Amino acid sequence: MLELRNIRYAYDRQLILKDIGFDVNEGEIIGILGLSGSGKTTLLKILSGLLVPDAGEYRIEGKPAFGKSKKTSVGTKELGVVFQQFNLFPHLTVLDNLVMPMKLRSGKPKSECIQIASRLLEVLGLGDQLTKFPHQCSGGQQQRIAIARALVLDPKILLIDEPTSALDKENTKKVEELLKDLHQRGLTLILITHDLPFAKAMCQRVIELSDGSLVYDGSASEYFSKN
Amino acid sequence: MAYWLEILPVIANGFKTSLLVYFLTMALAMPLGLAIGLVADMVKPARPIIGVFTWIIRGTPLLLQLYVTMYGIPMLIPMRMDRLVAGVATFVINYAAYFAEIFRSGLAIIPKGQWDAGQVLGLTKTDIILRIILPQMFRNTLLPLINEAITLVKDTSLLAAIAIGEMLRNAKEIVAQDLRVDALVIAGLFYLMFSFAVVLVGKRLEKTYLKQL
Repeated sequence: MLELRNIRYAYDRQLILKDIGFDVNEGEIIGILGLSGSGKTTLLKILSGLLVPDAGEYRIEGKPAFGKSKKTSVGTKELGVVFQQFNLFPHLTVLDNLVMPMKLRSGKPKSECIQIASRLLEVLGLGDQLTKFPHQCSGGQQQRIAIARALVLDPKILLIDEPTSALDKENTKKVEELLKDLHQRGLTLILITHDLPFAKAMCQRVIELSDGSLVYDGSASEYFSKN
Repeated sequence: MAYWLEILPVIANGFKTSLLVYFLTMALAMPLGLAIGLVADMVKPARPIIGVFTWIIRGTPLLLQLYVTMYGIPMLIPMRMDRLVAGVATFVINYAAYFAEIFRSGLAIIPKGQWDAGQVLGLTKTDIILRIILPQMFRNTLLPLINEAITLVKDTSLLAAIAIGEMLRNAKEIVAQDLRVDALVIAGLFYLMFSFAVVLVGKRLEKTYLKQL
Protein backbone atom coordinates (compact mmCIF):
# COMPACT_ATOMS: atom_id res chain seq x y z
CA MET A 1 0.00 0.00 0.00
CA LEU A 2 2.81 2.38 0.93
CA GLU A 3 6.34 2.20 -0.40
CA LEU A 4 9.18 4.30 0.95
CA ARG A 5 12.63 4.15 -0.60
CA ASN A 6 15.74 5.98 0.60
CA ILE A 7 13.77 8.77 2.23
CA ARG A 8 16.07 11.53 3.37
CA TYR A 9 15.12 14.72 5.13
CA ALA A 10 17.33 17.47 6.53
CA TYR A 11 16.49 20.52 8.60
CA ASP A 12 18.97 23.27 9.33
CA ARG A 13 21.68 21.20 7.62
CA GLN A 14 21.08 18.40 10.08
CA LEU A 15 20.01 15.06 8.68
CA ILE A 16 16.79 14.08 10.47
CA LEU A 17 15.96 11.01 8.37
CA LYS A 18 18.71 8.94 6.77
CA ASP A 19 17.72 6.74 3.82
CA ILE A 20 14.58 5.31 5.36
CA GLY A 21 12.88 2.58 3.38
CA PHE A 22 10.04 0.18 4.11
CA ASP A 23 6.74 -1.04 2.73
CA VAL A 24 3.36 -1.05 4.42
CA ASN A 25 1.17 -3.98 3.41
CA GLU A 26 -2.58 -4.31 3.64
CA GLY A 27 -3.94 -5.43 6.99
CA GLU A 28 -0.80 -4.79 9.01
CA ILE A 29 -0.53 -3.14 12.38
CA ILE A 30 2.84 -1.44 12.39
CA GLY A 31 4.39 0.30 15.35
CA ILE A 32 6.98 2.93 14.58
CA LEU A 33 9.06 3.16 17.71
CA GLY A 34 11.98 5.26 18.82
CA LEU A 35 13.15 7.72 21.41
CA SER A 36 12.36 11.42 21.26
CA GLY A 37 14.41 13.02 18.49
CA SER A 38 14.74 9.76 16.58
CA GLY A 39 12.81 11.15 13.61
CA LYS A 40 9.37 9.63 14.29
CA THR A 41 7.46 12.90 13.97
CA THR A 42 9.28 13.86 10.77
CA LEU A 43 8.48 10.45 9.35
CA LEU A 44 4.81 10.92 10.31
CA LYS A 45 4.77 14.26 8.51
CA ILE A 46 6.26 12.71 5.39
CA LEU A 47 3.88 9.74 5.50
CA SER A 48 0.90 12.05 5.89
CA GLY A 49 2.06 14.39 3.13
CA LEU A 50 2.80 17.39 5.33
CA LEU A 51 6.52 17.33 4.54
CA VAL A 52 8.20 16.61 1.24
CA PRO A 53 11.42 14.59 1.64
CA ASP A 54 14.66 16.01 0.23
CA ALA A 55 15.41 12.72 -1.48
CA GLY A 56 13.88 9.30 -1.96
CA GLU A 57 10.65 7.92 -3.24
CA TYR A 58 7.26 7.63 -1.56
CA ARG A 59 4.42 5.85 -3.30
CA ILE A 60 0.85 5.30 -2.18
CA GLU A 61 -0.92 2.45 -3.95
CA GLY A 62 1.81 2.56 -6.58
CA LYS A 63 1.40 6.25 -7.33
CA PRO A 64 3.95 8.95 -6.38
CA ALA A 65 2.75 10.65 -3.22
CA PHE A 66 3.93 14.11 -4.22
CA GLY A 67 3.11 16.14 -7.29
CA LYS A 68 5.77 17.11 -9.81
CA SER A 69 6.28 20.43 -8.06
CA LYS A 70 7.32 18.45 -4.95
CA LYS A 71 5.66 21.16 -2.97
CA THR A 72 2.14 20.05 -2.38
CA SER A 73 0.86 17.43 -0.02
CA VAL A 74 -1.02 14.47 -1.35
CA GLY A 75 -4.17 14.96 0.71
CA THR A 76 -4.88 11.38 -0.09
CA LYS A 77 -8.10 9.57 0.67
CA GLU A 78 -6.13 6.39 1.37
CA LEU A 79 -4.59 7.77 4.53
CA GLY A 80 -6.35 9.00 7.66
CA VAL A 81 -4.21 10.84 10.19
CA VAL A 82 -4.76 11.29 13.93
CA PHE A 83 -2.40 13.80 15.52
CA GLN A 84 -0.94 13.57 18.99
CA GLN A 85 -2.65 16.86 19.93
CA PHE A 86 -5.76 15.75 17.96
CA ASN A 87 -5.96 19.16 16.19
CA LEU A 88 -9.75 19.19 16.32
CA PHE A 89 -11.39 22.34 15.01
CA PRO A 90 -12.34 24.23 18.20
CA HIS A 91 -14.92 26.48 16.53
CA LEU A 92 -16.97 23.55 15.23
CA THR A 93 -19.14 21.11 17.12
CA VAL A 94 -18.08 17.49 17.35
CA LEU A 95 -20.47 16.61 14.52
CA ASP A 96 -19.31 19.48 12.32
CA ASN A 97 -15.69 18.46 12.81
CA LEU A 98 -16.62 15.45 10.70
CA VAL A 99 -19.32 16.91 8.46
CA MET A 100 -17.31 19.91 7.20
CA PRO A 101 -14.36 17.97 5.71
CA MET A 102 -16.63 15.16 4.56
CA LYS A 103 -18.93 17.50 2.65
CA LEU A 104 -16.02 19.35 1.06
CA ARG A 105 -14.15 16.20 0.07
CA SER A 106 -16.98 13.90 -0.96
CA GLY A 107 -19.39 16.45 -2.39
CA LYS A 108 -22.25 14.50 -0.79
CA PRO A 109 -25.32 16.47 0.36
CA LYS A 110 -25.01 17.84 3.88
CA SER A 111 -27.91 15.74 5.18
CA GLU A 112 -26.19 12.56 4.03
CA CYS A 113 -22.88 13.69 5.59
CA ILE A 114 -24.67 14.38 8.89
CA GLN A 115 -26.25 10.94 8.81
CA ILE A 116 -22.97 9.13 8.11
CA ALA A 117 -20.98 11.20 10.64
CA SER A 118 -23.62 10.76 13.38
CA ARG A 119 -23.66 7.02 12.84
CA LEU A 120 -19.87 6.82 13.00
CA LEU A 121 -19.73 8.90 16.19
CA GLU A 122 -22.38 6.70 17.72
CA VAL A 123 -20.39 3.56 16.89
CA LEU A 124 -17.41 5.15 18.66
CA GLY A 125 -19.53 5.84 21.74
CA LEU A 126 -19.84 9.56 21.10
CA GLY A 127 -23.54 9.69 20.25
CA ASP A 128 -24.27 12.05 23.13
CA GLN A 129 -21.45 14.47 22.24
CA LEU A 130 -22.58 15.58 18.77
CA THR A 131 -23.54 19.16 19.63
CA LYS A 132 -20.72 19.76 22.08
CA PHE A 133 -17.54 21.61 21.21
CA PRO A 134 -14.23 19.70 21.42
CA HIS A 135 -13.04 21.46 24.58
CA GLN A 136 -16.18 20.27 26.35
CA CYS A 137 -15.11 16.65 25.83
CA SER A 138 -12.57 14.63 27.81
CA GLY A 139 -9.12 13.72 26.43
CA GLY A 140 -10.26 10.19 25.60
CA GLN A 141 -13.37 11.49 23.85
CA GLN A 142 -11.32 14.03 21.89
CA GLN A 143 -9.08 11.27 20.65
CA ARG A 144 -12.06 9.22 19.51
CA ILE A 145 -13.45 12.30 17.75
CA ALA A 146 -10.09 12.69 15.99
CA ILE A 147 -10.20 9.02 15.00
CA ALA A 148 -13.79 9.45 13.76
CA ARG A 149 -12.78 12.51 11.73
CA ALA A 150 -9.96 10.53 10.12
CA LEU A 151 -12.32 7.63 9.40
CA VAL A 152 -15.11 9.68 7.93
CA LEU A 153 -13.29 9.93 4.61
CA ASP A 154 -13.11 6.14 4.54
CA PRO A 155 -9.31 5.69 4.46
CA LYS A 156 -7.57 2.34 4.02
CA ILE A 157 -4.74 3.22 6.37
CA LEU A 158 -4.97 4.97 9.72
CA LEU A 159 -1.84 6.75 10.89
CA ILE A 160 -1.90 7.64 14.58
CA ASP A 161 0.69 9.71 16.39
CA GLU A 162 1.26 8.78 20.03
CA PRO A 163 -2.21 7.27 20.53
CA THR A 164 -1.80 6.88 24.28
CA SER A 165 0.24 9.90 25.33
CA ALA A 166 -2.74 11.90 26.56
CA LEU A 167 -4.65 8.99 28.04
CA ASP A 168 -4.91 7.26 31.38
CA LYS A 169 -4.82 3.46 31.74
CA GLU A 170 -8.55 3.01 31.32
CA ASN A 171 -8.73 5.11 28.16
CA THR A 172 -5.60 3.46 26.79
CA LYS A 173 -7.39 0.12 27.10
CA LYS A 174 -10.44 1.56 25.31
CA VAL A 175 -8.31 2.91 22.46
CA GLU A 176 -6.58 -0.44 22.20
CA GLU A 177 -9.93 -2.19 21.83
CA LEU A 178 -11.19 0.38 19.35
CA LEU A 179 -8.09 0.11 17.17
CA LYS A 180 -8.21 -3.68 17.23
CA ASP A 181 -11.84 -3.49 16.18
CA LEU A 182 -11.00 -1.10 13.33
CA HIS A 183 -8.21 -3.45 12.24
CA GLN A 184 -10.62 -6.35 12.18
CA ARG A 185 -12.85 -4.31 9.91
CA GLY A 186 -9.98 -4.18 7.42
CA LEU A 187 -8.08 -1.04 8.33
CA THR A 188 -4.29 -1.00 8.16
CA LEU A 189 -2.80 0.74 11.19
CA ILE A 190 0.45 2.65 11.61
CA LEU A 191 1.03 3.64 15.22
CA ILE A 192 3.80 6.04 16.08
CA THR A 193 4.50 5.56 19.74
CA HIS A 194 7.06 5.36 22.46
CA ASP A 195 4.65 3.44 24.70
CA LEU A 196 6.22 -0.02 24.56
CA PRO A 197 3.53 -1.96 26.50
CA PHE A 198 0.89 -0.48 24.17
CA ALA A 199 2.98 -1.31 21.09
CA LYS A 200 3.51 -4.84 22.40
CA ALA A 201 -0.22 -5.33 22.88
CA MET A 202 -1.12 -3.91 19.48
CA CYS A 203 1.53 -4.36 16.83
CA GLN A 204 2.36 -7.23 14.52
CA ARG A 205 5.37 -5.50 13.08
CA VAL A 206 7.82 -2.98 14.51
CA ILE A 207 9.92 -0.36 12.78
CA GLU A 208 12.44 1.24 15.08
CA LEU A 209 14.16 4.51 14.38
CA SER A 210 17.28 5.69 16.12
CA ASP A 211 18.96 8.99 15.36
CA GLY A 212 17.16 9.20 12.02
CA SER A 213 18.10 5.72 10.85
CA LEU A 214 15.95 2.63 10.57
CA VAL A 215 17.54 0.14 12.97
CA TYR A 216 14.85 -2.55 13.08
CA ASP A 217 12.10 -3.69 10.77
CA GLY A 218 10.56 -7.02 11.62
CA SER A 219 8.10 -8.98 13.67
CA ALA A 220 6.89 -7.43 16.87
CA SER A 221 7.17 -10.64 18.88
CA GLU A 222 10.84 -10.98 17.94
CA TYR A 223 11.47 -7.33 18.76
CA PHE A 224 9.86 -7.49 22.16
CA SER A 225 11.53 -10.79 23.06
CA LYS A 226 14.88 -9.06 22.48
CA ASN A 227 13.93 -5.77 24.18
CA MET B 1 -37.86 71.47 25.86
CA ALA B 2 -39.03 73.62 22.97
CA TYR B 3 -35.43 74.73 22.43
CA TRP B 4 -34.28 71.12 22.36
CA LEU B 5 -36.93 70.22 19.78
CA GLU B 6 -35.81 73.19 17.74
CA ILE B 7 -32.13 72.20 17.60
CA LEU B 8 -32.66 68.44 17.46
CA PRO B 9 -33.11 68.19 13.64
CA VAL B 10 -29.81 70.01 13.04
CA ILE B 11 -27.96 67.66 15.37
CA ALA B 12 -29.78 64.62 13.97
CA ASN B 13 -28.74 65.72 10.51
CA GLY B 14 -25.12 65.76 11.66
CA PHE B 15 -25.68 62.38 13.26
CA LYS B 16 -26.69 61.00 9.85
CA THR B 17 -23.31 62.06 8.46
CA SER B 18 -21.54 60.49 11.45
CA LEU B 19 -23.48 57.26 10.85
CA LEU B 20 -22.65 57.28 7.14
CA VAL B 21 -18.93 57.69 7.83
CA TYR B 22 -19.10 55.06 10.58
CA PHE B 23 -20.69 52.37 8.44
CA LEU B 24 -18.61 53.16 5.35
CA THR B 25 -15.46 52.95 7.46
CA MET B 26 -16.46 49.65 9.04
CA ALA B 27 -17.57 48.15 5.73
CA LEU B 28 -14.40 49.12 3.87
CA ALA B 29 -11.72 49.05 6.59
CA MET B 30 -12.60 45.51 7.79
CA PRO B 31 -11.97 43.73 4.47
CA LEU B 32 -8.97 45.94 3.72
CA GLY B 33 -7.54 45.25 7.19
CA LEU B 34 -8.24 41.54 6.75
CA ALA B 35 -6.46 41.49 3.40
CA ILE B 36 -3.45 43.33 4.86
CA GLY B 37 -3.44 41.05 7.93
CA LEU B 38 -3.58 37.89 5.79
CA VAL B 39 -0.81 39.10 3.49
CA ALA B 40 1.33 40.05 6.51
CA ASP B 41 0.79 36.58 7.96
CA MET B 42 1.34 34.56 4.81
CA VAL B 43 3.67 36.55 2.54
CA LYS B 44 6.96 37.06 4.35
CA PRO B 45 8.51 39.53 1.87
CA ALA B 46 5.50 41.85 2.28
CA ARG B 47 5.95 42.14 6.04
CA PRO B 48 8.48 45.05 6.10
CA ILE B 49 6.29 47.15 3.78
CA ILE B 50 3.19 46.45 5.84
CA GLY B 51 5.22 47.11 8.99
CA VAL B 52 6.16 50.60 7.76
CA PHE B 53 2.55 51.29 6.73
CA THR B 54 1.09 50.32 10.10
CA TRP B 55 3.92 52.14 11.92
CA ILE B 56 3.15 55.41 10.11
CA ILE B 57 -0.62 55.11 10.45
CA ARG B 58 -0.65 54.01 14.07
CA GLY B 59 2.18 56.32 15.03
CA THR B 60 0.59 59.58 13.86
CA PRO B 61 -2.66 61.18 15.04
CA LEU B 62 -5.78 60.56 13.03
CA LEU B 63 -6.34 64.31 13.05
CA LEU B 64 -3.00 64.88 11.31
CA GLN B 65 -3.88 62.22 8.73
CA LEU B 66 -7.17 64.00 8.05
CA TYR B 67 -5.28 67.28 7.44
CA VAL B 68 -2.79 65.54 5.15
CA THR B 69 -5.56 63.95 3.05
CA MET B 70 -7.71 67.08 2.92
CA TYR B 71 -5.07 69.78 2.51
CA GLY B 72 -1.68 68.11 1.93
CA ILE B 73 -2.48 65.82 -1.00
CA PRO B 74 -4.21 68.55 -3.09
CA MET B 75 -1.03 70.63 -2.69
CA LEU B 76 1.09 67.86 -4.18
CA ILE B 77 -1.39 66.70 -6.80
CA PRO B 78 -3.60 69.57 -7.89
CA MET B 79 -7.14 68.28 -7.43
CA ARG B 80 -10.39 69.21 -5.80
CA MET B 81 -10.79 66.99 -2.75
CA ASP B 82 -14.34 66.26 -1.64
CA ARG B 83 -14.44 66.63 2.14
CA LEU B 84 -16.52 63.54 2.81
CA VAL B 85 -14.45 61.38 0.46
CA ALA B 86 -11.25 62.64 2.11
CA GLY B 87 -12.70 61.95 5.56
CA VAL B 88 -13.92 58.44 4.75
CA ALA B 89 -10.70 57.52 2.90
CA THR B 90 -8.59 58.64 5.88
CA PHE B 91 -10.75 56.75 8.34
CA VAL B 92 -10.69 53.60 6.17
CA ILE B 93 -6.89 53.62 5.85
CA ASN B 94 -6.40 54.43 9.55
CA TYR B 95 -8.79 51.76 10.79
CA ALA B 96 -7.56 49.20 8.23
CA ALA B 97 -4.08 49.54 9.77
CA TYR B 98 -5.46 48.85 13.25
CA PHE B 99 -7.69 46.01 12.02
CA ALA B 100 -4.74 44.49 10.13
CA GLU B 101 -2.68 44.33 13.32
CA ILE B 102 -5.62 42.86 15.25
CA PHE B 103 -6.24 40.23 12.56
CA ARG B 104 -2.52 39.44 12.34
CA SER B 105 -2.39 38.80 16.08
CA GLY B 106 -5.54 36.66 15.80
CA LEU B 107 -3.91 34.59 13.05
CA ALA B 108 -0.61 34.26 14.91
CA ILE B 109 -2.18 32.41 17.83
CA ILE B 110 -3.89 29.76 15.70
CA PRO B 111 -1.81 26.59 16.17
CA LYS B 112 -0.08 25.27 13.05
CA GLY B 113 -1.80 21.96 13.77
CA GLN B 114 -5.03 23.46 12.43
CA TRP B 115 -3.42 23.89 9.01
CA ASP B 116 -1.97 20.38 9.23
CA ALA B 117 -5.38 18.93 10.11
CA GLY B 118 -6.99 20.66 7.13
CA GLN B 119 -4.20 19.52 4.86
CA VAL B 120 -4.32 15.84 5.83
CA LEU B 121 -8.08 15.92 5.37
CA GLY B 122 -7.35 16.93 1.78
CA LEU B 123 -8.92 20.39 1.98
CA THR B 124 -7.78 23.04 -0.47
CA LYS B 125 -5.85 26.07 0.78
CA THR B 126 -8.91 28.24 0.17
CA ASP B 127 -11.12 25.87 2.18
CA ILE B 128 -8.58 25.77 5.01
CA ILE B 129 -8.51 29.58 5.13
CA LEU B 130 -12.28 30.05 4.83
CA ARG B 131 -13.51 27.16 6.98
CA ILE B 132 -10.79 26.71 9.58
CA ILE B 133 -8.50 29.72 9.88
CA LEU B 134 -10.78 32.74 9.41
CA PRO B 135 -13.56 31.60 11.77
CA GLN B 136 -10.98 31.03 14.50
CA MET B 137 -9.29 34.32 13.72
CA PHE B 138 -12.60 36.21 14.06
CA ARG B 139 -13.27 34.45 17.33
CA ASN B 140 -9.77 35.36 18.59
CA THR B 141 -10.15 39.00 17.57
CA LEU B 142 -13.78 39.68 18.38
CA LEU B 143 -13.16 41.58 21.61
CA PRO B 144 -10.49 43.99 20.25
CA LEU B 145 -12.63 44.48 17.13
CA ILE B 146 -15.59 45.51 19.28
CA ASN B 147 -13.28 47.93 21.10
CA GLU B 148 -12.24 49.50 17.80
CA ALA B 149 -15.87 49.71 16.72
CA ILE B 150 -16.67 51.68 19.89
CA THR B 151 -13.63 53.95 19.43
CA LEU B 152 -14.76 54.73 15.88
CA VAL B 153 -18.08 56.08 17.19
CA LYS B 154 -16.16 58.81 19.02
CA ASP B 155 -13.51 59.29 16.33
CA THR B 156 -16.15 60.37 13.80
CA SER B 157 -16.22 63.68 15.71
CA LEU B 158 -12.73 64.43 14.30
CA LEU B 159 -14.38 65.04 10.92
CA ALA B 160 -15.35 68.45 12.30
CA ALA B 161 -11.69 69.43 11.85
CA ILE B 162 -12.02 69.31 8.06
CA ALA B 163 -15.36 71.12 8.16
CA ILE B 164 -17.62 68.15 7.56
CA GLY B 165 -21.08 68.77 8.98
CA GLU B 166 -21.12 65.84 11.34
CA MET B 167 -22.87 65.85 14.69
CA LEU B 168 -20.28 67.59 16.90
CA ARG B 169 -19.58 70.33 14.37
CA ASN B 170 -23.30 71.06 14.06
CA ALA B 171 -23.64 71.11 17.85
CA LYS B 172 -20.67 73.48 18.20
CA GLU B 173 -22.18 75.85 15.65
CA ILE B 174 -25.44 75.92 17.60
CA VAL B 175 -23.55 76.61 20.86
CA ALA B 176 -21.60 79.48 19.22
CA GLN B 177 -24.78 80.93 17.78
CA ASP B 178 -27.12 80.59 20.80
CA LEU B 179 -24.53 80.71 23.62
CA ARG B 180 -26.16 77.68 25.25
CA VAL B 181 -24.53 74.28 25.85
CA ASP B 182 -27.71 72.22 25.34
CA ALA B 183 -26.58 71.16 21.85
CA LEU B 184 -23.41 69.62 23.28
CA VAL B 185 -25.50 67.71 25.84
CA ILE B 186 -27.75 66.36 23.08
CA ALA B 187 -24.72 65.42 20.97
CA GLY B 188 -23.25 63.65 24.00
CA LEU B 189 -26.49 61.69 24.45
CA PHE B 190 -26.41 60.69 20.77
CA TYR B 191 -22.82 59.43 21.11
CA LEU B 192 -23.79 57.48 24.24
CA MET B 193 -26.79 55.89 22.52
CA PHE B 194 -24.75 55.06 19.46
CA SER B 195 -21.90 53.48 21.42
CA PHE B 196 -24.45 51.65 23.59
CA ALA B 197 -25.97 50.14 20.43
CA VAL B 198 -22.50 49.06 19.28
CA VAL B 199 -21.87 47.51 22.73
CA LEU B 200 -25.16 45.60 22.47
CA VAL B 201 -24.27 44.26 19.03
CA GLY B 202 -20.85 43.35 20.40
CA LYS B 203 -22.38 41.47 23.35
CA ARG B 204 -24.62 39.57 20.99
CA LEU B 205 -21.68 38.63 18.78
CA GLU B 206 -19.73 37.57 21.87
CA LYS B 207 -22.60 35.37 22.99
CA THR B 208 -22.89 33.75 19.57
CA TYR B 209 -19.25 33.29 18.65
CA LEU B 210 -17.46 32.91 21.96
CA LYS B 211 -19.70 30.16 23.29
CA GLN B 212 -17.15 27.62 22.04
CA LEU B 213 -14.62 28.93 24.55
